[in-house]
Amino acid sequence: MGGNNYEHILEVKELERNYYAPTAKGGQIIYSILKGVSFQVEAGEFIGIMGTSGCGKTTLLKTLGMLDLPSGGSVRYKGVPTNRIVGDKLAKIRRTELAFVFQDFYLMDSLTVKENIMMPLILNEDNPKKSEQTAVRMAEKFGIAALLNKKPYELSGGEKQRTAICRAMAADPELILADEPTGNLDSNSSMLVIKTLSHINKRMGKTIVLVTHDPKVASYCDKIILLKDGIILNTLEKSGEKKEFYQRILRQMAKL
Amino acid sequence: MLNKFFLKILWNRRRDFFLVVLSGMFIISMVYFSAAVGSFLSFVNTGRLPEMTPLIGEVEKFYLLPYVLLLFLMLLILLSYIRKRSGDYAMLAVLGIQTKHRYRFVGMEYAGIILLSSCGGMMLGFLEAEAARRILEGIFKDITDHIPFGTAPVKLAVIISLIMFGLGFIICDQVVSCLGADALAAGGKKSGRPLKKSPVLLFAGIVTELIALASVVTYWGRIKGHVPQALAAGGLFLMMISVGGFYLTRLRENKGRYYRKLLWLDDWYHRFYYHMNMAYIAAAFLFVIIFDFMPALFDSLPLVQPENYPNDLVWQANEGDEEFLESLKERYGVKVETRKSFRVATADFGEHTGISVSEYEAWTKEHLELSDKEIFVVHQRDREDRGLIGLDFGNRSPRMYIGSTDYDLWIFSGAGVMPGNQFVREYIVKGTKERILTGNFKTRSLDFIGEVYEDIIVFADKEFERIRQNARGANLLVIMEIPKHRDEVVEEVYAYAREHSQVNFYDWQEGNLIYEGRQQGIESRKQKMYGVSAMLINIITLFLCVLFVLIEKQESEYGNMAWKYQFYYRSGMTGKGRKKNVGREVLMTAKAALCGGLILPVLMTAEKVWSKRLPKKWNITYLIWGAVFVLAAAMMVCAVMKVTAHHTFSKIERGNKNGRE
Repeated sequence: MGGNNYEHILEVKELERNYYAPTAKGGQIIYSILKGVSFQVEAGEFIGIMGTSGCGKTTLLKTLGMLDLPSGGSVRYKGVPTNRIVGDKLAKIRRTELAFVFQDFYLMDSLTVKENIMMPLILNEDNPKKSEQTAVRMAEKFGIAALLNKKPYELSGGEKQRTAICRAMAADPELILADEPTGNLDSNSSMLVIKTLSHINKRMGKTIVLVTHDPKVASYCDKIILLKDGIILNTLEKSGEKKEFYQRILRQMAKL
Repeated sequence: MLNKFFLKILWNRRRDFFLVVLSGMFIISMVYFSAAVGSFLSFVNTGRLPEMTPLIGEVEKFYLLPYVLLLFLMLLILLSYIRKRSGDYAMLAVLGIQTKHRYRFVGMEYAGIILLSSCGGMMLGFLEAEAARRILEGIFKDITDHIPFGTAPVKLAVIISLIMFGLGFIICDQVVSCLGADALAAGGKKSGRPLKKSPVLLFAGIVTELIALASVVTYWGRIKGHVPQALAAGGLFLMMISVGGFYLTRLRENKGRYYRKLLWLDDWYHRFYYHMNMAYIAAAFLFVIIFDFMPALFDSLPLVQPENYPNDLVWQANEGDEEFLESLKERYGVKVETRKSFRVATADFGEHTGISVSEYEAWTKEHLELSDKEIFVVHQRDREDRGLIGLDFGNRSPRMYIGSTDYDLWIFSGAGVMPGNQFVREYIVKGTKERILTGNFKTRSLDFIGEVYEDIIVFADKEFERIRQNARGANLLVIMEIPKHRDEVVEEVYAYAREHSQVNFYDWQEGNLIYEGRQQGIESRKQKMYGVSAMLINIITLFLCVLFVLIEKQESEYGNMAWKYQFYYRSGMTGKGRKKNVGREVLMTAKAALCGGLILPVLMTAEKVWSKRLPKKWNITYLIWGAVFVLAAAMMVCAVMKVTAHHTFSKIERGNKNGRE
């Protein structure tokens, strides 16, 4: 996609996103969720997006992941405006280059853990045997090998999220978009999940954009974008120790 | 591998899938059943199985709106199913499913629905039709020993299924391809469009209903009842949406009442249009039952209506036949009454009896005053036909030809048969009356026009004498009472008429204008029996549709209901309270359907009956029968829904107990 003629894996310029809601009297209310957001994501970065509830974090992530279209401004994925990526081209990017991890996991209850992990590969028409091997490998890497034949409803929250991360990693994507992956988890499971994501970023070189409201989780990122009422309030670059970065995040959060 | 995954994902939704299949089966079985019964009744009536086109015409007369409603219902069921499946579809879209795979997935699922629904529906429809066939064979055993199955109903059911599922597939595919991340997050619980209070819709609904009410007593030619029916159905939809919207928004303003009802009304605020659409379909079925079939059923009851044939024999004879009549009097003691008359052909393919004012006054003891160019029409119609339009499609100055009809009056062309220029508008209808004098004799008119009844047209004396001189055809109306030797007398009259009397132009067997009261009574009873059977089957069929809509809706909402029950349970609500809330929620759709489906059709039916200008006795009878019918229908709907509510509650509670264990 786009060859190597791109400077940033994601480039966001003056991004606006409005939602329209009908009123009881037949009119329309416009909700401006994002009001001119600009930033770039470089390959291999681990970026966190933080902000209070309703500030537009998830909307931003959905727009970056091409699950939503901008109302104004632009989002470029590898140099190509996302509104030009449609149909099978978009489907192929989702299968091979882009992966999502959601707060609510969205695993298929009818499939086993192994089958859930295999799903992107099967949709990509990869060899079933190889897909199975990949799923097993992933499960071993992220510590859920013992759960491969279980159904999602038999798992704990942390196990479900690790399964979802395995599914996201199965097709070896370049970019992972994670929407509050620790939102539904206890602190131990949260740490396990964020460490897993950090590992994926540091050791496997994957680019990650993470939405979170947890400063502790955010401290694992390289850069934090702080959103307030649809605009970027501040950007924090990691420097020094994680603890120090955590304290800086806390201070910034207090200003939100 | 992909197919295996698809099937596994689908298996998780098997309950919803089979509910859609069952719905499809029911709908197709109804189409096949109605077409098959139409073909059986046509066979009883004509002695031959109908071909495709006449069958469509026959079924369409009664079932056009029900078929449209069934189509609408199937689309709603499919959309509701897609809504439930939207979480899965959206997840696959996020994972990057290819277009070809999406088509394979949706196509496979949809093909399964079509195949199972079609095969199951045909089989179910065949079983239902077989039961109806046996019942009809029993009822009409004096007419036919065996009623055969034809191929036309199968073809009709296949065509309608193709339309229904073809349309369904297009809509579903579009819906699936538009699913976004919202659907993923909603996981099949996405709300519909929000509730709106729309005065414009309310106004449009009221106007449409008023036009529908006016149209009931307006002539619609060959399209007949479809216009008021379509207007009323459209208006009913607008009214239900707008009145429902107003009620719920007003309720929200009254906080005390709103919060008391919120527990069981919340989903109506959440998915107003879905609930209202389903209630509308049930209401529209009730509308068809009450407006179309109920009065038609009452018209045919009792099966024997001797008041329509008060004379033993009515014969359109000629002056000069008196000698023959004298001999009948002498030999058989026949009482004969003769009246000077002539035949009057009308441009609506009818032929009537013309008499003078003096004859009319002597006959009825009623005074009548007419000028030369005025006529008075006595419509001789039974209750079923009353309220229909008058001479020459109700024209105040009807196109008439003084004399009997023959080929020379008509223009035959590829486009059909049209009245020629010998039909002129010379007289003005001064007044009309509904009264049986000779009898309710239907002209055996050309099939495509419909039935025209033999009326009595009264002319001013002077004018009568002037035009009678040159009138073609019979000119002596003979009415006989035959106390004994009926068969011999009738036989002799027929034999004499064959030699000397006018041939009925509209009779394909070239018979004479002789109407035998007893024979007419037997034929009428057969027709009434036919009408009653058809109406009862139609009523039962559509009533099953009403119940099906309500039960299907309930079953498809079982998941939500179970979830809500958990909420009640965990909030500490008593068992009685939980039961009451579940029951109210289940009954809500039925109540909305009954409000919509009873008020308007009752008004329109009352108007239809009133337009018949029936004697007071019959108006009261119709009122009592109607009230009983409507009450019974409402009670039956409520009873079935109460049972359904009880069943739903028990099922949820059983599940809940198991959960605790």
